[in-house]
Amino acid sequence: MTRDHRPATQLDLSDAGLWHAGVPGDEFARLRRDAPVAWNERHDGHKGFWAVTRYDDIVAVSGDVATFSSRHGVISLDDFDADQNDARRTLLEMDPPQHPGMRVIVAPGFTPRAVGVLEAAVRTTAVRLIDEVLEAGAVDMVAALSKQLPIFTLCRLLGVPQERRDDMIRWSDLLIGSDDPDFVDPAAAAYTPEQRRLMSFGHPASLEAFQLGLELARARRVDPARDIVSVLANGRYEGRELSEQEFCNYFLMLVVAGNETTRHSISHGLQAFADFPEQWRRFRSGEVDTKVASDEIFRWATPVHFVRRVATRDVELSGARIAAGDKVAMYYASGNRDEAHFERPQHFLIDRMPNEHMAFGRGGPHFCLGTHVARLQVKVLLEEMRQRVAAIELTGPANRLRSNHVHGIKHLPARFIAA
Amino acid sequence: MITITFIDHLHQARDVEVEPGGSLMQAAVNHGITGIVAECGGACSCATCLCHVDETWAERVGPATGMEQAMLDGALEERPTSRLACQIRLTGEMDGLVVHVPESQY
Repeated sequence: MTRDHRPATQLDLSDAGLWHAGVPGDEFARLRRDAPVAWNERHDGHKGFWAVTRYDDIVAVSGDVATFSSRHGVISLDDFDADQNDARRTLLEMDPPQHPGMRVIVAPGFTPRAVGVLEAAVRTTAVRLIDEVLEAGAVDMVAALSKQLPIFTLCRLLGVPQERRDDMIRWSDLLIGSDDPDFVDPAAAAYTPEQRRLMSFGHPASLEAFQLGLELARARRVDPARDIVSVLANGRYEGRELSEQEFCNYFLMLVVAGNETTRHSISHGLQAFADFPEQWRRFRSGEVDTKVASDEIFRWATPVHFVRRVATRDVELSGARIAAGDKVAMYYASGNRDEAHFERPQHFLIDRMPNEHMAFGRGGPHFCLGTHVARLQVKVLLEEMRQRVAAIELTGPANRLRSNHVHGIKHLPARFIAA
Repeated sequence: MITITFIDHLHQARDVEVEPGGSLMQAAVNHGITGIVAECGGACSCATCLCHVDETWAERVGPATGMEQAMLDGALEERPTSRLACQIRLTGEMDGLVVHVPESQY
């Protein structure tokens, strides 16, 4: 097979406009069937990349960190140079032995038991938010509910004062929404492209988040609390404290990752219950475990479309010849609809079992650190909604985020019908 | 081949035969032992393959160390004999090993 005859995508998966319209499910079904590892050419100055679309191939790539490195960029399909990668590097863009050494600093704080202590506070907030929505009638569910619960939880977990919630939401929106005209920030124009190049997410909102992180770190070094910032501020890597840049990038990663993905999962779940009301009735009947229901919401939402690696050597994968240096994107958006792993994958089935979805990743060391935080919130929200909400009705069309990476919903006009 | 006995939360025992060399987690997953989830595939990153080594075997299997111990400190149902199954390498000497699997990993 020459490079001219390699299997290729028929759509440009790097086109944010494509995803804005909807997940390209038909193209993914074709790719899984005919071209499971397909070349996606780009025409905007960045090199093309391989799209991996089958569940089993995604697991294989995730697990082979020696062949598929994270060091050269993970959350973007663009080409970054070494300076950019180093300046922006977080846990996501590390390989062993750096990655486990850095991850273990906070990982014990994200296990089921550690996260479980938040349950009562999450429940109190969930009940308050549900009651407010019931009272208000038609609302934007994103603003009223799905934005609020994760940021409340995240502030508690990290140790960020609750009065900074709105800042946390704003930064996260700006950093994730850089391809969406609704999130263009005039402040970004005050910086030259060269300055922005080395900023996290290429955006000056990161600097504001760093400032907050460093303030908190200074306070927690003097007076540690039971929160993740205290762990991080006092944590050690290879026997030394984290550098300021390491700390800042770590902190910002936790802010953004812990905010967007859970928010969008909740929004997609609400939309799905409105679109498939029989599934909400089935859930409300009490026969469906909330953990089982939560996992179908995560599979259905798949809040991150892809993560990417770079091949460290020439390697063949499902018939495609990947060259050393090629970018390789694992499409969870496709793996979570793979017919080989899910019966009726295009259906939202609230009692789906088994459901070994890959919304949090699967089969590799970069498996989502915040999995149990997300699970706790969706589980508690469902438990409390089951008591109070008879039905969810859309009152307008969902407004989707324009992004080739995050499966976001910006606005979801809807109402809860009281039980 | 060696025989491993998995005992679930309802005290139901199941024997599986495996080749030594792999991890206890892989043995459980390959034989469909429910209760061992192992979402990260054995990278000590998800803490969803928690098990409890039977006390009669605890000394021979040994305790958790390093990253595994750090993860176990925050796991549900931690006991002195708790381990993450992905970090137990099966050897020929482990023929007859008995491990207890919790009802739920999260």
